[in-house]
Amino acid sequence: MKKTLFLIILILLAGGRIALAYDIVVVKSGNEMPMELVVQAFSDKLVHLLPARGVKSIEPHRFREIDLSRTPLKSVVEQQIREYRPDLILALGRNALLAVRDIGEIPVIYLLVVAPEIITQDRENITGVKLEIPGKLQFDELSRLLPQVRRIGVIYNSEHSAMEIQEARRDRPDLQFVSLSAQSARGVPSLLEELHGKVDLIWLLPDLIVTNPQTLESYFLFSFKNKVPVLAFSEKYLKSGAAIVVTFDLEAMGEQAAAMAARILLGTPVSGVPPTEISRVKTIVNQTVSRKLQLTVTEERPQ
Amino acid sequence: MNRWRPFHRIRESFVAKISLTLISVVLVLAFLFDLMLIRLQQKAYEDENIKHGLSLVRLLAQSVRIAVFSENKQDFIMPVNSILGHDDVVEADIFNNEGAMLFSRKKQENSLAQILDNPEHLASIFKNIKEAGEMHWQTPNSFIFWWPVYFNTSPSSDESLYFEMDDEPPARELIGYAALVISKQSFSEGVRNILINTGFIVVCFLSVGIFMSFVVVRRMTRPLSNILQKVKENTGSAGVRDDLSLLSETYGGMIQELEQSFETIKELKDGLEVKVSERTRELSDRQTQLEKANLKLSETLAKLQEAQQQLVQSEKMAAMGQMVAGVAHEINNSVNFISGALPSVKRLLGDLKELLASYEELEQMPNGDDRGRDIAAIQALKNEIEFAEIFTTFEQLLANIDEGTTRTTRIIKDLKIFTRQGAEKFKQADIHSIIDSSIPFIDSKLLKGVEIRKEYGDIEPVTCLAGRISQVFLNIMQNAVQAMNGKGTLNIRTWQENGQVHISFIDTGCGIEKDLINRVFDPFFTTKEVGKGSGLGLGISYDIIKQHSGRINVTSKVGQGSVFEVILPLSPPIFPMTRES
Repeated sequence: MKKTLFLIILILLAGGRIALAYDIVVVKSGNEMPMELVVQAFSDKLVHLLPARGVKSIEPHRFREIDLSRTPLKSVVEQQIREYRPDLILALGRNALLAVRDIGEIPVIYLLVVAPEIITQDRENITGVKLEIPGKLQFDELSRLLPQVRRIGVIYNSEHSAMEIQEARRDRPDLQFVSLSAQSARGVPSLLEELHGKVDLIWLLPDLIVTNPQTLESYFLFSFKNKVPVLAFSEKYLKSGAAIVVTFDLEAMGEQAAAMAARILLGTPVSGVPPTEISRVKTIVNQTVSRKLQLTVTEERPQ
Repeated sequence: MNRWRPFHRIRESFVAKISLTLISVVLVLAFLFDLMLIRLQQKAYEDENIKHGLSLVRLLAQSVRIAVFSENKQDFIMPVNSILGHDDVVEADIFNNEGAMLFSRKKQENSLAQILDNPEHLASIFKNIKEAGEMHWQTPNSFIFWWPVYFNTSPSSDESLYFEMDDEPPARELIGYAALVISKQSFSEGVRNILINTGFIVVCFLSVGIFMSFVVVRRMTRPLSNILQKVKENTGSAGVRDDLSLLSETYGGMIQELEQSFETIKELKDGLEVKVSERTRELSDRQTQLEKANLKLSETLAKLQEAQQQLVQSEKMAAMGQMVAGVAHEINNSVNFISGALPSVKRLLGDLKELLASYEELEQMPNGDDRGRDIAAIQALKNEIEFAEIFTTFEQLLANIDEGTTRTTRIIKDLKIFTRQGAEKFKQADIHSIIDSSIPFIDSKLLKGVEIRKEYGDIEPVTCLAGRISQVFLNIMQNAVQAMNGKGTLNIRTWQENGQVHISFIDTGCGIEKDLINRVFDPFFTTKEVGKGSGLGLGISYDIIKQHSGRINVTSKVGQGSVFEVILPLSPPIFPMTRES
């Protein structure tokens, strides 16, 4: 009787779908970035996409963390990862990506990395979500909030950020872009003075030549003096005086990375999952600055 | 000469000297204090101006950062004009980090001309500013302040474009220098005001201080002035001397006098010892005399005590005699009953013997005529002796004898009660019985015309020495009867009130004079004739009643009688020890 019952259970178990649990190593560059939110969104989404539940599942996905602020040596990180033998590496930040760049046998997905292509150099096991916010998304949000804005002033460096100007002009031909090229930060204040009376908004570019601690004051001083709002790409500029920020959504980035990870873990080669741009942005209006600049914001998306 | 008189007087006066000294000290201190105060205030005011100047030049350096960074002259105008808006700021100069002047604006003649014309001096200033962080100095007409112009140059990474990088330390770069010239005009006016205000305060302080010093010195030296005044009055005003000399001389004289006084005291002390010795000897003699007198007094007292004992003994004897007389009278009365009955009894016995002899003869005689005759003779004898009454008479006589015997027995019993005082102990006794047993001992001769009325109330037995109380009652009643001189009424009343028994003896005798009432209990006091009383009876009675914690009240009116009221507690608070009388 007991043998018959045992056989029945075995037959039932054999009929169930296989549900594997994966080992994932999360490498963090440090604590200064908002990584917890990204990791949480990644893990939640991954569990949703690859459920490690069912009659055959023994344990859930295992996430191990390596914090580079505590383990700064690249060799140590590599050795540690090889000991773990994970199914996937999630690299958060530039330093994390640099640390795991040379581990070729394990798939790597990066997040929160500026200009990752410089680091990855076409390595086939590395993919991820780009941090740059597409100009089109920024101006779509801008048009929604400040439809009266037509003339966009921008200071750029011809070597680093000329491409963004071209893409913006291509994507939003309805807008007038007044762009001035600066060869150094010292030239930015003077160029800003040239924009006086010619623009409705100043567009900050993620270019260290034109956007740095030395020039930021000039932007916001110009903004306040001439009542011209500044459109920025990161929340950090809100407290300095930016009127509108259109920036990445960390939760959406985490979910995008999880979807890529699911595909890779299910067998798709990493080369088949190319790096993607962010799909969703977050828009924040600085109410105090807007009031002082006497802006009429038509709508604000809830955060 | 008189012109200099007040100064001369000041030179003499001790108070004036102290006042002048104190005022001089106050003046010197005030002067020093004034100098110090002015210096401190001036320094504080100067420091304040320097702080203000440094704040302004720092503000200027902060304001022109972007202008210095971009070296755009237009950007200098607004911040520099803002600083020059301050009244005392007369010049502002901005240099880049290489020492080249970027902007300059001034209200008056260039104060920094000499510096600006000397590149080496300027270079050394920049070097000092780099090392010290700031620089300032002053010329006769102005303050000059320097402050470096910094710009934030935190190391930038691509990530820093998007995120707050906390681990990157803030850094700054020296991009130029700001100089500010501030006129000393307002500062000089401020210093002048400080001098005036401080001087005024010090003058006020001096005025009050001098006045207070004068008042305090005058008040504190008033006792000394009084002494000096008295000294002058005593020594006379001859000769011009200052106060201190006068005091010194007086003090010297006092010491000399004191020494003389001590000498005198010493001499007196030596003489006093002799006198004390003499007085001691005299006192010793007096004491010897007193001891002798005391001895004599002791002897006299012993004699007096002996006499008193004799008198007490006499009183006892007198009392005993009185008592014996009473007893003798009573016994005599009782014996009279017996002795009066005895002859009659003898006579009746003789009659009966004779009658019985006649009957015996008649029995022995033969029957015949003689026998009848003898019977007639016996009958005649019976009639003669009144045979029919003889037994009645006999019974009456026996009754008289019995009465005499009874009375004697009672007298002896009363006498026993009266005389058993020595061994007596406190015990409950009926006061009425004590009174009744005492009455028979009153002198019967005096009682003949006296009526004794008893109004006994309802009283409880009294704890007492019955014999002694009986002695008291007998004394009082005896005195009362004597006072009535054989005629009158002795009313004896008893009642109980508040836990006390009252026994009142009211007589209708001659009474006692008012002046003598207070002395009736004094020993040896008596109003009786010599030999009739010792004067101790009521005294003893008083002691006995005191022994019972009671009291005797006496009221009397001459010619109407006296009232002796004995008050006894039902139970004495503390039973006195029974004493042998």
